[in-house]
Amino acid sequence: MTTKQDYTYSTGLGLSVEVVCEISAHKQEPLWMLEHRLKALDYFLKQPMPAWGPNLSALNMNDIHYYIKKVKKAQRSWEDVPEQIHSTFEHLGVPQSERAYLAGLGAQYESEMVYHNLKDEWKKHGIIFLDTDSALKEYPDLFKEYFGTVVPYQDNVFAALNTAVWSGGSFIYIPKGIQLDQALQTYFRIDAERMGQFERTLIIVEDDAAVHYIEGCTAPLYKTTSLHSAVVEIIAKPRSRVRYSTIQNWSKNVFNLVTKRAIAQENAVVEWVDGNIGSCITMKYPCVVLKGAGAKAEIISVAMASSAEQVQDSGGKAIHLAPHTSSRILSKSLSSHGGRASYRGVVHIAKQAHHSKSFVQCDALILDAQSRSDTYPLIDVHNQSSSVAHEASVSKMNDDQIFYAMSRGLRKQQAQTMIVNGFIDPFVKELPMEFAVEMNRLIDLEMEQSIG
Amino acid sequence: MKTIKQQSLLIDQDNQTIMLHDLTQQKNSYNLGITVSAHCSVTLNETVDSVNHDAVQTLELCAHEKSTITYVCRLKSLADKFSLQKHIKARMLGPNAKISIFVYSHGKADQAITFTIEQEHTTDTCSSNVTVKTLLEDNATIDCSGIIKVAPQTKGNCATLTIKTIMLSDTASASTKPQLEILSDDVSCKHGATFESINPVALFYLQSRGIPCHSAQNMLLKAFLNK
Repeated sequence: MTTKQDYTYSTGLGLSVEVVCEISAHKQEPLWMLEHRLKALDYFLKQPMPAWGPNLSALNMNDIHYYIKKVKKAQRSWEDVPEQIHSTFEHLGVPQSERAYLAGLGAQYESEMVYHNLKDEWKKHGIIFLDTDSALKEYPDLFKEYFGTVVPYQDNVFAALNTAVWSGGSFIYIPKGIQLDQALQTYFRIDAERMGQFERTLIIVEDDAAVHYIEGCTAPLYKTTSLHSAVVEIIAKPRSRVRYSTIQNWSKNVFNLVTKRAIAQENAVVEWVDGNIGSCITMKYPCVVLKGAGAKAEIISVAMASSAEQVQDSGGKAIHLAPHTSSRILSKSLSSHGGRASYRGVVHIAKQAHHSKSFVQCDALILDAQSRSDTYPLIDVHNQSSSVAHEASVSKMNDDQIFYAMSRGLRKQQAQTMIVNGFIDPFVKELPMEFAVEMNRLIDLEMEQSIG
Repeated sequence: MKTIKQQSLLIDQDNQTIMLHDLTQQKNSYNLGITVSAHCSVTLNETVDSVNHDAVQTLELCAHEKSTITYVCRLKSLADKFSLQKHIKARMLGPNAKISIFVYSHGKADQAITFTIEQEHTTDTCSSNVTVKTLLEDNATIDCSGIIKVAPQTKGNCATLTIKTIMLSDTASASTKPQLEILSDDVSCKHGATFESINPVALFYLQSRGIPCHSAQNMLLKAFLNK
């Protein structure tokens, strides 16, 4: 990357009370938010890093820009985009206009989202779709009512960090009874070297409303370690329906440590569709708290670890707190080239959550002898009328299947790619069309690199 | 609780059937290591029915080349209030070794049962099969964690872990952790865990054939533990 990094505003490297105050002052936030940030910072500084899961010792908290704002738009030209990104887009078949947008030449920038597209008709219905910073300014009461209610800063060390230094993210409010057929989309990007992205997304869906939110991520390749630690909070009111789809393809130097949680009230349906392809270490366990009777949760995820440094530690959590709730977790993982893919998940069925049902399935495919796959599920059941089933399998690619495909005239690599695409098909089916196509091509590309 | 020194035993004859009771002198807590030589097979039977206070039982099974170990453990009619910890380690040290473990337990009153089971695959083409079935009544709790470990550069290993729990009371609680740590690609490993109450369809069928509800229930539970 040769472009001169030209930032109009940055708090510099490292984290301190001054940095947090500066962020808050720069954003002209209300006092309660500053106090909230400082409380979270205090908590963060007192907490140790998690003792379980992947090794985070390469992460240096003092070597990160916690807040950067760039006001100048579209500074870079297509030639500045690294070659590798070029070829990735080529493979993905992204149209030229979109390439520019995806490569960060368009209107999406870093910590603060400059661009949001909300059609007039949605506005008419009272739908709010803003970046989180503007939402705090424009709808302070609504914001204060829900902010931090699903993921309090004491939840975990990275939630505390995010609460202290958050900026950007999306704020979505869907009023009563509004059903959106068209998905709301946004693209986040990590654009600056050594910059943490601490988005804070808050989605509030009122009674009987429905929304599908899509978050797509691409990031250019950089050498220095970057941190991405977002918090996503979803509040699904009675009988509402929320689907949150995301494919994460950060460059292979990013630590992706994310807290995603939803609260589902009476008869609400919450679905997480989550793909993890890039980044170096991912720790991401989308969670649904089934708080109202009859609520339903679905968590579908795919993880692909395809280099020796890569650890995909992902999974799902379903916390059943009310009767007649149901959840389904489907997790698929692929590991190749010394990569490590893990499933880590919790199903908790409380005593009062009678007649609840949960089904967990995790399948892993190991593509070569250097790679590794782990499964760490926890199942806790406290009543007799609920039923829980968990199953997991780990295997290599079936030789018979490869042989069959080759006997029908496919080359070995084509056969393998086909089998992998078949393996993740239950996930791809859940994606919107353009994402599904992109996903299949990404798999092709990864397979080419890993076997080719 | 102080740790007990491991007692070890080597089995080098084929087709052995051993009652574990005789080896442990009917003690509540024990620490036993059983090694089976190449080409031998052994069946270990254990019925735990005399525990009346807290007990820790540790059992290490080592199977050498082409040997087979089958271990069947039944926990029944124990005291109302006690805690039992059972740690089982199945180690396959030679190619083509096979270890099968079946644990059946019935928890009542305030009993607390903890199982940890480890299946360790260190060489090629071994198979291990673990089944844990538990029936829980009253305030009984069970904590069952199993782990399958497959070492790198091994081939053709096959491991399964099945944990089935039937809960008969709302005050009982069960927690399971069926884990996998697979560092090789040429494997076939599976685990499954289920929690349920008595199958209402099966119960209805038996009742429709003239069997009273209570006996039908007993019949189904008996079938569950004996399958």
